[in-house]
Amino acid sequence: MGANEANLIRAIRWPVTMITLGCLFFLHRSAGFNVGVLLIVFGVLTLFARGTVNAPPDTGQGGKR
Amino acid sequence: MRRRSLTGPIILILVGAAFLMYNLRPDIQLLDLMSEYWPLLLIAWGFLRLIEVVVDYSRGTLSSTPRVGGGEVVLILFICFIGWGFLSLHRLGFRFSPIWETGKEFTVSKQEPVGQAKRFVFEGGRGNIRITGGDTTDIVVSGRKSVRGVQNAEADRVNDSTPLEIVKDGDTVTVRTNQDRNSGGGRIAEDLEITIPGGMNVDARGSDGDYDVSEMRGNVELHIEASDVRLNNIGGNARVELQSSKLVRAVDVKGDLDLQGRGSDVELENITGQVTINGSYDGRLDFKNLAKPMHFESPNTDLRVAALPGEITMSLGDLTGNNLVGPVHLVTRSKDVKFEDFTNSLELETDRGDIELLPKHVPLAKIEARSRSGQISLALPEKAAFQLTASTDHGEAVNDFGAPIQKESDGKSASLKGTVGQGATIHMVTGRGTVSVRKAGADSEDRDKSEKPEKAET
Repeated sequence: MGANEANLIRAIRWPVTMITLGCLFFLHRSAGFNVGVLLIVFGVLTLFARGTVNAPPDTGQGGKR
Repeated sequence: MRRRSLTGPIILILVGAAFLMYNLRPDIQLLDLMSEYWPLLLIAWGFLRLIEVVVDYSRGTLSSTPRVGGGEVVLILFICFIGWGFLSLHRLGFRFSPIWETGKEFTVSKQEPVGQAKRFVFEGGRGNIRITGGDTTDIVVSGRKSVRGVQNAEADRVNDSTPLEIVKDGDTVTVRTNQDRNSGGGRIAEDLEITIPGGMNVDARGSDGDYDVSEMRGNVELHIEASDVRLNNIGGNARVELQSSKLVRAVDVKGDLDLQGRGSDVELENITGQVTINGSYDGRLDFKNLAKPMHFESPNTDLRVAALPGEITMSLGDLTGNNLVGPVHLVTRSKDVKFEDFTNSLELETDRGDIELLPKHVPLAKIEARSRSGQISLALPEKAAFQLTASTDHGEAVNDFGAPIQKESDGKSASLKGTVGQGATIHMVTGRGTVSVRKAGADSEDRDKSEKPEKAET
């Protein structure tokens, strides 16, 4: 995975968490407020973000030296 | 140079637009709406942030540093904290709008003889309504009308344009609040007490408010958008249709009761006729002393009992019943179920949840219990006669009845099979969890030491 994708995952982590949080508050009356969902979403995105840390950076050179 | 986020200004514009709307339309209950729908602000905020990220990514200008700073996180937590407080107050029935609103209150009083009319129709709007049957030949309406969100002169005009009417047509007497005639500003609410002859049939319609109907010998029919409903001492059938409610309470209804719609808590007690409940209710449901068949149907639960001399209590995760007359039929998705002292056959199925059954009377009737994931525990009278088949795919099998019941284990699965006397069939199946057949009244601690597996796989 390239550096851009890694940045993308890091960047969408908070917006997705906010949307999840808003949905949980909005739907809590019918579905109950499940903090677990929030933790899972944030955890999965954090895992993805960390999974990209060790990936070789994508220089975009396409094999040129 | 890194482009600054557009989210902050857009959120400011949205909040400003909300306050501007309140200035232009003061009848809109802004704070009450915001206390209910503020989570949409978080969702919109998140989507705006997401759009920014995607745009930056597509342009190749996505920064490697996080776009959400500490201040923004604190602000989000602050909004959640305040919003949750407002939402909780709103759900408890607190209304913010009347705190500072302008407006005026008017007294409502009207009386008309009913004549030969047998049917009473109430066409209301917003407001709390109490309808009481009595030994009278007149319809008596009294109460107060409030017009909020406008200055006094405009309130007077609104009041004049929406007079309360009593109209007689054939065997029907109609009371109309005429709130729909209000074409100007202001928000009308009428809290009324209506006394009518107790033998009339009632048909009431409204948009928002609590409805309390009592001491009626005829039928009662309510069609209301958002309301708490209380029915007390109704001689005929009762039918209630709701789009939203915090509480529906019916006590001492002689006829059938039919409840349709959505809401939270439901309390039914001493219902002589058949009970049908259809809809979605996310609070606590209490049913006591229902003399005839009851059918409860929601998106997640289907429950039928032939009668309920005892009590059933239901919440999102639990269902307990005591003293039920079968056949009992229950299909539910995710509930722990406990039925105690039931007669006739029982058929029970749950996707996720433990099942605990304690029939107290012999001879036993047919029992069939299934759970995809959850333990099933059956405690039988010591002298019970039955033919048992019980199995679990992942779990243990526990037997209190000794040699007549054969236990088999195969890897993670286990089963019980056997006959004790000549009795009804009992069939219990679970995908994951312990199945147990015990003698009621046996010492549970001793039993646990001797029979219970070291590790239950639930």
